[in-house]
Amino acid sequence: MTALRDEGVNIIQAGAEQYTEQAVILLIGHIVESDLSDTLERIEECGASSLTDVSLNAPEGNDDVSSARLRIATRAGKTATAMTAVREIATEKNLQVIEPLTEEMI
Amino acid sequence: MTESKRLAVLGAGAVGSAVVELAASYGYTVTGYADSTSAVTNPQGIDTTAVTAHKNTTGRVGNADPSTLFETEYDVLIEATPTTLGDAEPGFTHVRRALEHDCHVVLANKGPIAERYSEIMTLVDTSMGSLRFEATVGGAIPVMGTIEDIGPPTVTAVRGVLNGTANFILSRMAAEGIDYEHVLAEAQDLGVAEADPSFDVDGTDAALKCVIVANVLAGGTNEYTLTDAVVDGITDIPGSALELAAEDGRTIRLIAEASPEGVRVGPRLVPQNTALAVSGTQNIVQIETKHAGQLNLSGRGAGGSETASAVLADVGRLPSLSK
Repeated sequence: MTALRDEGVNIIQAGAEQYTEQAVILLIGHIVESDLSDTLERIEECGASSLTDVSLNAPEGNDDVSSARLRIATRAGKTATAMTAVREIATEKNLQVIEPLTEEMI
Repeated sequence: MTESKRLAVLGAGAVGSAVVELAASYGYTVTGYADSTSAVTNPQGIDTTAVTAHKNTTGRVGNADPSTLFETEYDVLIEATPTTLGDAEPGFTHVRRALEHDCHVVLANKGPIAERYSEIMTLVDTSMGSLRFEATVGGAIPVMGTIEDIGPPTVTAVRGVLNGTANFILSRMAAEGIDYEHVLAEAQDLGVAEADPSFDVDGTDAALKCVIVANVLAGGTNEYTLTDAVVDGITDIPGSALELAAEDGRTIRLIAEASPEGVRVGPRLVPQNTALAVSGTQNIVQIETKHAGQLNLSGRGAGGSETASAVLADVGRLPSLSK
């Protein structure tokens, strides 16, 4: 932490974050046009999860329907909270969410 | 030993005609057979071979009015007319007439039991006849009989792949990298999908089956109809989504879920090479129980003789009528 501060990094919080569950979901729709960066940021901002992998498949180009696979790590028992946030964001952006049947342990 | 029962078969589609053809091999006599425009009856039993030939030639099962079916002597009404939504007519009236005459009813038609469950059960309560509906869920797979044997209060949830057409389309899209429209056309050529496939691909058919299961699990504490189900179909799933799923060892299946608390149908991610990732037109049902863990039942979820086998198994489970 000292080294980080010496380099000018402002540390807001430090500690171990234990993610014990993960969920893989698919998003379908105009993912790029609906601002993929904003979608990913807002999923992480829900407070219960961290995106560990994102893959985009847009065979028809960025301005057509595409698919994205998101791997979301969550704290124990928080997968449902994260999924609720994903659903709300997807509904707002007219994206379809393909959810897993159950969460997985990491 | 199979007790001889007299069957009146209403509906001459794939299921009704298969019931008529197979009834004798189960020890049953068909005394009436009707389609939407005609009927044939004989208290001693109709000549099923001749009637089938007549239907194949003329498109009608007989020359009498369809309503004469209810005037013949029968013990069990087999209701195999097409499923209708909303008021579930004319299937509901057919069921009511048979139960009011203290006859048994075996349903292959999902409409009456999915859309008017409590009304049907009230009719059953005041009739000497019984009602069974194994064939409405999962074709040849004994879903309802298994739930009945386990005891509905000890079943916590039922989920599975309950529509062969949707599963065929998703399987082919994933295996061949073909888009939805092309696979649908192929399915229609093969007879796996109907000319209007909306009932299957929009999730309605699977939802109706789960509504039936949910009503049984709820045991009268809640009543569900199709409008209570959360339903999403497969028509908007692009091949790109299936490719991403496959890269991660998963696939997409139209999963139907029923519990005492409700019904949900929609495309879901499932791991490849697991029980729920059945291929082609196969169906699978997972039953979660309080005391027996998880049971997996798979098999053919549709087809004339397959569904007829469920109908005829139901006939065998009916008690004797003492009129």
